[in-house]
Amino acid sequence: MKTVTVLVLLISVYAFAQSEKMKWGKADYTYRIEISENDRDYSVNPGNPIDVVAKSFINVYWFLISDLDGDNCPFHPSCSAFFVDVIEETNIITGTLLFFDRFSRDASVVGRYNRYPKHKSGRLYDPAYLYTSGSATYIPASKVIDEE
Amino acid sequence: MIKILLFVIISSNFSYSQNFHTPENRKLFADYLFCSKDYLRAVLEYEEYIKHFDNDTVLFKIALGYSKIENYNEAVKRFINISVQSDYYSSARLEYLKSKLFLEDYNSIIDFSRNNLRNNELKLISMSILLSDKNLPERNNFIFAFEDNLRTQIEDFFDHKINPPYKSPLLAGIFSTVVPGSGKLYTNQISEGLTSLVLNGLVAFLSYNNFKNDHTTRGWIFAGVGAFFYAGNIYGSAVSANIYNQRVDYEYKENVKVFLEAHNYFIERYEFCK
Repeated sequence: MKTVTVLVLLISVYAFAQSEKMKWGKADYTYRIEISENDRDYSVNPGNPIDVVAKSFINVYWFLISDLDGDNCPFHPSCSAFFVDVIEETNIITGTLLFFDRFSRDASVVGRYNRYPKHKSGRLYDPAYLYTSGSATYIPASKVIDEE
Repeated sequence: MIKILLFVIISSNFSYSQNFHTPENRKLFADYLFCSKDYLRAVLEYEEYIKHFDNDTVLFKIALGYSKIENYNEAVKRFINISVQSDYYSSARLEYLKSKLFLEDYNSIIDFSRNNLRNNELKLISMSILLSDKNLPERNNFIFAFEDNLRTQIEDFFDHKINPPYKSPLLAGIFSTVVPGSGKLYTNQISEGLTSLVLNGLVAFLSYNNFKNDHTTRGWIFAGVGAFFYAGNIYGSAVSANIYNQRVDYEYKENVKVFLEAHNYFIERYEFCK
């Protein structure tokens, strides 16, 4: 009886113990960059005519062009998402001006990785609030931003 | 016989056993932890020790430990309670000011009004005036606390505070109105300035060329797009000047902090761990 009990105990310990292989096994990790297209908000606020016009324009662009073309914008948030944010934070006129400014900054490819802080996704971090808060806000280029 | 032997062995174990939890042993252990830079656990052990004995050095080391683990709120509370009779009173005052610096509570440093302000305290108060939004005193009143070898650097900070090398958002906007992109060049955004110039020039040329060749619709489309790029560049240049000014402030504060760190906040090194 003693032998059986000891055997059962030993077997159960071995059966439920964490093996070295499991403990030190290779972790599954993906190096794919997170795609922000999945987080897109297509909703429109019908009470706000400016939002309806701007959001309809952006939704059509996202659905017909951006989703097919792929996730190519070097910035986070992308230029179209920046447009939506900047209009929400300011107004249609200021927002449009800042969007065209962002668009021309997007075209400026020389040395931009030394000028903008980095987002955790690997893109350049350039959100609307940096340009819309009462006084513009400076984030050093060496910083990596962890927020969404 | 075996029972006697076992009894002797067990009783001898107890007679030679050491109690590690006496206050003296806890202090010895805390000293070891403190010198191993394990400040959090050292503080916990010191806290146990001072329940039994009052010791100025230990009280100061607790406060210093909190400061080392960057718990500045707790450090401030502990440093302010160091007694005037303590050997570490003057160091505690400096450490208090240092912790307040890390908390960016510059106003309470500037208002640190105690009798007989020491020279190093005056230095820390002067440095916090540089970091705060308060107006600077007279130049000579400001720099007199500093030694000759530090005065050049302090005067540079002083001059920067009086006259920071800001760029005017209005001027940046005017520059970009006259020549697209020049406002960005003015704010040191060379690549973006040149890109804006090329982009505006290209769209303007496309518009002109289409009108010239009687493609009126395309001409108007390019003119409209060009107008947005042009206006966006003017507004963007003004915002860019604001960001430039923020950067000037940021780098200035970083330089002052690096200077303070290089001089150990004018605090002498302690010799707790010889």
